[in-house]
Amino acid sequence: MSGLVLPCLIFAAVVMCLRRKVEVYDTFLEGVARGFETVWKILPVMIAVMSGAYMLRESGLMAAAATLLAKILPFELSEDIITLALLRPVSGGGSIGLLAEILNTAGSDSETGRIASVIAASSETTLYVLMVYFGAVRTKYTKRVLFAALFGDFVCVLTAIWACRALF
Amino acid sequence: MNYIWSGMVLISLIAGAVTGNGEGVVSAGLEGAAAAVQTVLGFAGLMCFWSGILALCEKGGLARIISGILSPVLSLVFGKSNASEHIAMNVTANLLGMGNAATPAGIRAMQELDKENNSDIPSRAMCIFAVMNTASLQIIPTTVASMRASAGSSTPFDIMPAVWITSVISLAAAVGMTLLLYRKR
Repeated sequence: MSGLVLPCLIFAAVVMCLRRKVEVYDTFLEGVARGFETVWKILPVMIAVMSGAYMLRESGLMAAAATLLAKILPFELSEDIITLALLRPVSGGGSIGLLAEILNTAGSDSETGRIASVIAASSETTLYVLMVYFGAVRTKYTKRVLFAALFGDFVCVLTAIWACRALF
Repeated sequence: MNYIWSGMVLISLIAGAVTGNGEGVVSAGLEGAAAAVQTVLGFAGLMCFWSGILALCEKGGLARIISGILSPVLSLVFGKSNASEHIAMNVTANLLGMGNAATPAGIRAMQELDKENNSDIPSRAMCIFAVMNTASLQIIPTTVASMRASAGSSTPFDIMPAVWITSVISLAAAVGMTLLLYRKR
């Protein structure tokens, strides 16, 4: 199904722009520039997080902590996934950096790589979103909203594991 | 993030020193920085391409069509409100993975909802809306797919069905929990 969605989307986007006499090429370039801005913003964060992650891994502590958690959990799960699940709601750039790490080491088409991809794609930087959204209004967010949002993240991790094991 | 990163570095250095591998830890840090640049350059092209296509969706009106389809469903959840249009824009932008467009529309929606809320605590609609944004609903996971491609995946988009299922279920869980906690009294 995903094989059809993307070509159709691109096709429809270009045709609709042409029908509206939008400057397709210039608009595309504007979008590209915006995308590059995002890339540019991600880069320093990626460097910081990946160097930190490499150091932590080399020191051997990360493995020890995740091994501990993996033993406590009632089902089998890679240590990388546990770390990603813990980092995802707190740091967007951090989890992107960690995902890149997992994809490079475990392989993007491995089960761990797929689960990590799905977790990263199906959840948001919860704390950041709540800060931004409730920072703009008069009423402040309560513990209940935070709890509900984090509950969603928790369910997201479980569903991602289940979906990847069921579908691939 | 301040403390997380500091903690990561300090703890690694201490552990490295204890195990006599301090030098290895430092060079691993440099290695990580180099790997980060390589990774980012690897997916920069794909990321830019998709941002370009999404700009075409916005300008050509495809984004507005999608938001037109969504608005009846959304008004079921949020009722009639001045925020409706902003909410539809926000959800559409989220679905298309246009984070840049989603946040401004989302903040405006929150402000409109806040105006309609007479209480000192955030209204149920505000909470549901914010929680919806913390549980990303994305049709095309462009960033992740780009990263998968650059890490050597032959079919970087094959995770999409799994992403849809996971997004919908985790969104339902988060919104359901919000409804449970903010029952109408």
